[in-house]
Amino acid sequence: MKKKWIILLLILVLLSLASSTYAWFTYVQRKSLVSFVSNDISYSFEINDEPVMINMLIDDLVYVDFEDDILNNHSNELENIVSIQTFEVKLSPSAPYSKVEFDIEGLNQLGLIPIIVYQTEIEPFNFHAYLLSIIDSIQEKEAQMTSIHAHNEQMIVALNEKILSPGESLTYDIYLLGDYDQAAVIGDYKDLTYNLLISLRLSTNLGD
Amino acid sequence: MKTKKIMLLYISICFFVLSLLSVSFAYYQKSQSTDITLETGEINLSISFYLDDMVIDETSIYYDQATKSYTFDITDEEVLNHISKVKVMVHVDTDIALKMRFKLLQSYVVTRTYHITEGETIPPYTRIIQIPNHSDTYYPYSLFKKGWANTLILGDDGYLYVKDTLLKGDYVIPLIEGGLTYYGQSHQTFEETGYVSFNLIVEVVQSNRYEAIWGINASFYNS
Repeated sequence: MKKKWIILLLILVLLSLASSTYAWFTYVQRKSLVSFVSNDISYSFEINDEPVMINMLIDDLVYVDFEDDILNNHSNELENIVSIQTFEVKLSPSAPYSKVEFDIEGLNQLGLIPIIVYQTEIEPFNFHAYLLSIIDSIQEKEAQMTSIHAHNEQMIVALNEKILSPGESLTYDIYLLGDYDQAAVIGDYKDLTYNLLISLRLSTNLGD
Repeated sequence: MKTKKIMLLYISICFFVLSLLSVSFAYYQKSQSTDITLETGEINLSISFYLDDMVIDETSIYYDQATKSYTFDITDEEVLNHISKVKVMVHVDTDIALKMRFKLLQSYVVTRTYHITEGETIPPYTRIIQIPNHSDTYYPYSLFKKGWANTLILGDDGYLYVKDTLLKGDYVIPLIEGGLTYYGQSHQTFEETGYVSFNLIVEVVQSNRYEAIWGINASFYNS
């Protein structure tokens, strides 16, 4: 008798779990006129308006002199030579509210100066002024690079706090420059390559 | 025995529930990653010379191997190598922003040939002439016509500096499109013919490096 009760209870528990899980992703409510179906997270992830591939090559990296070009911008060409990669995640209009989580590995490599820019309201955007605002009044180059890295981490945190509503998109830029002096320590800068691993994870706002 | 069966049942249920959970989470999480390789940009530059639409190069009869220059007629519009038929295209394919400068190497030579009169022979007289500045349609001190509307700044070194930065891209620049005829003197006693020995130097540099490489400062481009 006891065994039967236990089995019955277990079946009930199992059913309740199964039904809640099932409702989580394919909740179907059938009534006489309407039906509600929850949706999958569909999205697009693009870099410079092209779909992001598993492996990608960016071949417009330019090496600069930290003092002449970054701090002083002697040639007034910093805006022209910096490699700008624009990333955009766009949630499908039928997708549920979703959290976006980015992880970018390789930002702190010797010889590479990456600056993440996540902003929508500063127009027109002046990259040199923005960069100077990050390193502000810091004097030592090492401390300036540390400040840039800290800025990037802050930007990633800010990006990961974003919750996208259906149809909304999230855009951020990575500005890339090569540091001529640091690269010279490693080898011939013309032959140097760097790798960035950019991971994106979307999950429903309430689902994780 | 009974206890074993119940334990087995529990374990089966746990596995079943776990499998359901993992399916539901997988459904609600999407992830992807991309491995980006960064490398330095490249620049490809080439120059093509044309007479009308015919490509000419170092093997052409109009190319002088000794002086490493092309010869174009400047006085007779009927000949195939007349300056009006010259076209020079510069092809720049660049991954990075550039500054560009070029110099026209040109030597205008006019020969005066005297008509032979009875009992008198006068050898031809050859001289190098200077071309005055024409309108903005033509290059400074040149008979060659600009094919490109970009603002140029003439430096003290004779180079013409392109004011605007060439951003990343593929450019086909019509540097020269034709030229002006030089009208030599023609008299009862002599007739003048002329030609130009011509070549071109085109240089490009990463746009933030013109100070170091070319020795000019930023204010030069604002002059």
